[in-house]
Amino acid sequence: MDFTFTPDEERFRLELRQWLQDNLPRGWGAPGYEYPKTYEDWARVRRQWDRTLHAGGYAGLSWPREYGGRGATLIEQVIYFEEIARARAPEELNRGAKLLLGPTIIRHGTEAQKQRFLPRILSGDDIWCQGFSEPNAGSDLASISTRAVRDGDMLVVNGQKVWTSYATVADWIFMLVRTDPEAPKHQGITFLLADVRTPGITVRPIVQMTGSREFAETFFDNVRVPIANVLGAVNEGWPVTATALSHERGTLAFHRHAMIRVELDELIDVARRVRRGGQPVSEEPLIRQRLAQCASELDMLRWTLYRNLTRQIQGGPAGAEGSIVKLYWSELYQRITELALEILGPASQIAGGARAEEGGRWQFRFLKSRGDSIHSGTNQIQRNIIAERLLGLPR
Amino acid sequence: MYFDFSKEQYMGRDSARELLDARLPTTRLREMLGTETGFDRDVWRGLAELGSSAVLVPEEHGGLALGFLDLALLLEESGRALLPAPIVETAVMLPLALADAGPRLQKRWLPGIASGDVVATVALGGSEGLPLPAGLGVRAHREGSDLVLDGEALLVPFGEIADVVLLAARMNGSGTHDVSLILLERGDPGISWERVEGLDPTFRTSALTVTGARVGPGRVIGEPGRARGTFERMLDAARAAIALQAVGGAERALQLAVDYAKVRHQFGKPIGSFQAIKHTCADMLVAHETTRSGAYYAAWAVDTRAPDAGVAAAMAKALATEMFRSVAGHAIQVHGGIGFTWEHDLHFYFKRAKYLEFALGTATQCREVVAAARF
Ligand SMILES: Cc1cc2nc3c(=O)[nH]c(=O)nc-3n(C[C@H](O)[C@H](O)[C@H](O)COP(=O)(O)OP(=O)(O)OC[C@H]3O[C@@H](n4cnc5c(N)ncnc54)[C@H](O)[C@@H]3O)c2cc1C
Repeated sequence: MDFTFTPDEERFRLELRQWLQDNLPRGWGAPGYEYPKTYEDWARVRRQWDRTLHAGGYAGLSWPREYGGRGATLIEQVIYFEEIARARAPEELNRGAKLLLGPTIIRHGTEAQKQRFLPRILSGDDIWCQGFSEPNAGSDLASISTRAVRDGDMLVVNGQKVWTSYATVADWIFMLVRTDPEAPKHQGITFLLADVRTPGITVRPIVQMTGSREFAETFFDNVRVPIANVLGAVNEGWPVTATALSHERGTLAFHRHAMIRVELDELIDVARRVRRGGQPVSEEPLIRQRLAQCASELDMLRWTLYRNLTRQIQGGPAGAEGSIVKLYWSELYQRITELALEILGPASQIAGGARAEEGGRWQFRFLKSRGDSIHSGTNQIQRNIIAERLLGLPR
Repeated sequence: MYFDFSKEQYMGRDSARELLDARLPTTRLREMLGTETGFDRDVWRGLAELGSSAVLVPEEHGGLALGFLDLALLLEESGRALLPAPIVETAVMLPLALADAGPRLQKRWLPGIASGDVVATVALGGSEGLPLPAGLGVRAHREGSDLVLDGEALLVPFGEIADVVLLAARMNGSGTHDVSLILLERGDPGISWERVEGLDPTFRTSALTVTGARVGPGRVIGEPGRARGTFERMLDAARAAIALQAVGGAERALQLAVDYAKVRHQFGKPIGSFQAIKHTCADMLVAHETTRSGAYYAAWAVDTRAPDAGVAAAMAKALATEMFRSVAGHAIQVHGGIGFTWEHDLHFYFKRAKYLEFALGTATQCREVVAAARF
């Protein structure tokens, strides 16, 4: 057992830390910094941040060098997530494309697709959104019914996607369509890449419970997409999807862990500062217990991630272990944000203005955390995966 | 960065598991319920042959002079087998305490501990259940160069068969931070044992009463009242050890539940196909895997004397023992009626979990250690 980093890894960390300091907007992360107010303004900041990262050579960290990536080791990727969380850097707008789609194109794409799409993903020139879920296909993703019919060297798409995050600001969508309705449901699916500006695509924002318009419903009305934009082969989209989903549950948890850690440290400061009944809230016995429990659970998460990391470095699969950490962090985050509101007291309900506690930040996180047990496979689905694949319980 | 045990460490685990599976099946545990001491010297010696109690003992005293990590997986196995013996006390706490003792005390006890001839235990808490060290049940005062001891320590593991008892006491009338560590020997005047019927019948405990027992300076580790540092180091390591035992015990309870869920049929299907059962088992695995990570990290922190060893051990102990109790409880539920019987083994796991939860500071007290360190 060894918890030290090599000199190279330490150097990577320090360089990145310095780079972040030099390249984040002035004052970013400091108390009192005026962050964007709306989702749309955030999207602009995040889009710009994608370009900055690219210019700095930090886009596509995990991608092989031949595709413009940095060929970083798993440990460097972890360090990256720790450092960007520490610096409170904006989330990359194109993260889904970098983490999920890029590796999937590298694995299943044609040479022409790689040339065409990969560089623009890294540069932030093409922002992507993920069109998987439909009104009648959520957890049961393979039951999608958006249809695509062949017409010469085109596919003509009709149907609807929903909960499409970032669709309102995206340039491209990677999506699942049904190309053979007669085949068993996993066998008639095609993985398709479409320009969001193609005639016939309509994106209507959906307001989330946070008030943010971060996702949307996306309609397809006789949308013509070249066959050349099929990733993998027609009707063979399910294995491609499996590749994409495996990346969804992979390294992302490191980032969430690192972000939650930054927020928990913030919360501990708040608990020491806010006074109630003449003493800091951090002195109240029940709050102390709950806060210590959250801090402990966060460490359990950290060490579990590091154990998984070692397993992966040794050549083991990322596999269903990813479901354990997804389940754990999402529920832990919900407990932490609930505790935060209790620590802040009734004024935590005030969303903005001079009377809001901490600029309403915790209220937003409290609401947003409810989505974390739903997206990327609901926690019930994660439990099914854990029970069936890790424990071998019958279906 | 490498967060796993070494090949050698896994081999050590396999030998321990083999030995305990063969010599300490739960049928043997049941037989031992009726014995005088509840202790099996053959199993104890078998473990000693694997080096259990020699790992932390220096070479000049016949030990292996290895680190806590080399003992960690054996401790986990001892928990898995519900080992009825004071292994944490003998193999972890005594060697650590004696590391700070004078050469005469070391020579008197360490070789016997390393060889397995000596069974040691530790006497700490009084009946009030205050956090340690405030909760130490025995008080000491000076008379000349001697210490005179009075008080009682509850729930001392296997006190009646122990050859040596490490007693932690507080000085009369002093602040809350002093600790004295004293070695009592079987047959010392002024000490008496009374067997306690514990919740966990597979783990014998006794109450130690000390009335005017007098010990000379040769029995004291370090200076009277000034052994706080030694005490804390020993406590940190022991908490990590208990967390590991809890992880081992829970693994077995979870396995029993999952195995049963695959074979027990109701409504024409295995009960493991019902989501209520499936998701319960998934939650058990999540709790188990995550706290196992924390227990392993605590083992590393103790081994390397990392600055956060005390916090890591406290959080691992709190979360792992609560996890064990919860996993054992769920395992009983998954079994239905048969799980509630004396005949089924699960209650032994449930009861051991509760014992571990209270030992060396409750989960609540351990969380307070975390709180005090972090905010
Ligand atoms: C913040 C957020 C962002 C999202 N972004 C995207 C995106 O960018 N692109 C995209 O395609 N999708 C996105 N989604 C959609 C998300 O993937 C789905 O919401 C999710 O897969 C669940 O599908 P559903 O909403 O249809 O719920 P349903 O599948 O209808 O589930 C409803 C309830 O039933 C439970 N349930 C369903 N099946 C089972 C089962 N077999 N066993 C036990 N319980 C079950 C679920 O756990 C849930 O509690 C996003 C969702 C959220 C919340």
